[in-house]
Amino acid sequence: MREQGRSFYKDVFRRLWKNPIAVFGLIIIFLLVLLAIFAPQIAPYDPYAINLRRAHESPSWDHPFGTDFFGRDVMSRMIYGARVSLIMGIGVISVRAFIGITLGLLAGYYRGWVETLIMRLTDAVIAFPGLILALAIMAVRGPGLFNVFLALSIVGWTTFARLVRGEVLSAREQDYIVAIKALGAKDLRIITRHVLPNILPAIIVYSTLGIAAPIIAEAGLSFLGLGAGADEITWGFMISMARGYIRYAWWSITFPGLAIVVVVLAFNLLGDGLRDILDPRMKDT
Amino acid sequence: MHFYIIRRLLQAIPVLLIVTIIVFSLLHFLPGCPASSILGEEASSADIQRLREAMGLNRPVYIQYLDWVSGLIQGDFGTSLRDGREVFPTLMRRLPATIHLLIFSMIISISIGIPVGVLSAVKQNSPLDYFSRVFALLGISIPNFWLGLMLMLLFAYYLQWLPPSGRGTIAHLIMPSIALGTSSAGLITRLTRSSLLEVIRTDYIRTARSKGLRERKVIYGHALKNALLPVTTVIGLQMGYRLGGSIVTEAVFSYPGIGNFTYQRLLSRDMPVVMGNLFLFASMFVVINLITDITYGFLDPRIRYD
Repeated sequence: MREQGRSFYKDVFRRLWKNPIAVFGLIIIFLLVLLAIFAPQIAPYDPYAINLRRAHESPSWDHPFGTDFFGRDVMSRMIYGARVSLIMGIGVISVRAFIGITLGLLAGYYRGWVETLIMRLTDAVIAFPGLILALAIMAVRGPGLFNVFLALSIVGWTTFARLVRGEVLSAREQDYIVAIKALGAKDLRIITRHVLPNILPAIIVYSTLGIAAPIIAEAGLSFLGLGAGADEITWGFMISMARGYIRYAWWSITFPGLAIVVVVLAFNLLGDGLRDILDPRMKDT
Repeated sequence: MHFYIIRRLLQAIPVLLIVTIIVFSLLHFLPGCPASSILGEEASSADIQRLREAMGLNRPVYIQYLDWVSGLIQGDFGTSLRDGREVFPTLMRRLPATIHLLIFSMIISISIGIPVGVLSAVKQNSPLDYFSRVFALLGISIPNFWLGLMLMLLFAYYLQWLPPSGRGTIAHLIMPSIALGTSSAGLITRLTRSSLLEVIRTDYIRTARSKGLRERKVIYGHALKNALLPVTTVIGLQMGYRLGGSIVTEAVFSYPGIGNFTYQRLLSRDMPVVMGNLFLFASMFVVINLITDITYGFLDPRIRYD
């Protein structure tokens, strides 16, 4: 069993390597992670250094992406901003996956009132456009990046819950699960050893494709002034602060926005590639 | 069919009920007292107590909930904390502007998404297909507020073709609708393409081709109808998700809709307005999904007997 599992993922990696577009996405993600980790070493300027005499300078050799209204280097701030975007995207999707998988497993495996309760709750959470629910949570808890993280984690797990429940429902009818059960395996063991590994590919695909949404949502909330605080650097907040000067300093809005597009695009490219490999039923969707 | 509609209607009731519980508990059980957050950190505890009383926050929780829900049913969403006006009529007055925006952006996403998706599938693996896939992927990767700002920069400030903000004419609607509709356009393109590709591979299409029908007739007469079925569901869902997007988009263009209004009130912590809007949007979402499902039931008889 073990050996087979390992070779399956080796095979996935081999096939991913043959998909140039997915590899392109992966390379961009890798570079962004490096930028985020080594931001202090890579950034040419201190992202907080105010220099009012050099405010609103257009892009030049000194400042490739120009400077903002405080004379701070836009590129350096963007490099630091990668940290929040990546943590937000990967962190939120992890929490969403955890909640969704747990609830989906419970609903699919135990059926009965547990299932009814969980699925009705899922329906109700789906009934909220995610951003609005997040906004409401922000309204109560107040602005701040941690609250954004919390608000975005509580919504959006429904896709995972539905996916996992459906897969568990079909898995439990299959002969091998029935056989293991007849052999006396415990529920928890069946779930973790047999059901979960079978749905893992689908979960990986959904997680990768799902990273884009919290990144865009954080940028949107920070843009609305509900996310980052004055001393935090995020792309959405940079755009928000520069918005009033849109006519004089297009660069301090354009480049941070491009950064969001690039990171979102990279995860979507990788996700598309993984989906073609891991979930052939969904190919071309 | 009647049976199916009735069943779907009945299913919507518990969902709406849970929606009310979620909205209510969000604002009551999450850490952070609304009264003290309205008054700020310097407020004295006596002030906070007075406001709590005025807001009815010191009554038992289930009474507050029942009170709120029975109000909702009668269209009484409470009164605003900021100007003391009734919430429901205030929201209703701003709703039409938002609905105009939603419909206009929907038209844009459908009229781009479906034709491009069809072309992309019919000419699979051609440069055209490649181009439209890139376009679709870009569409779903661009944050709508940033796209809005870029459009504003280009068309309002640089070219000066369109008004940068406000409402009144069709020209005011163009940029917000594009900003709001682009991601759905991308999604609809991708889905139309994949759905059509899937249908083209089925046996009945092979039959249609082998009996000598023209390709045009095969695609547009036989394949497209079935291929668009899943697209209708996504269009419905997208319509609902766009309610969330409308808040950001309306804020970018200072568009006087319900989203921008709620955002302004959210900043000043006018909870009855925020709660009312939350419930209104969620109910609209449920109703839109209901209509989508029923339409789907009409279009695809298989669904009804599930």
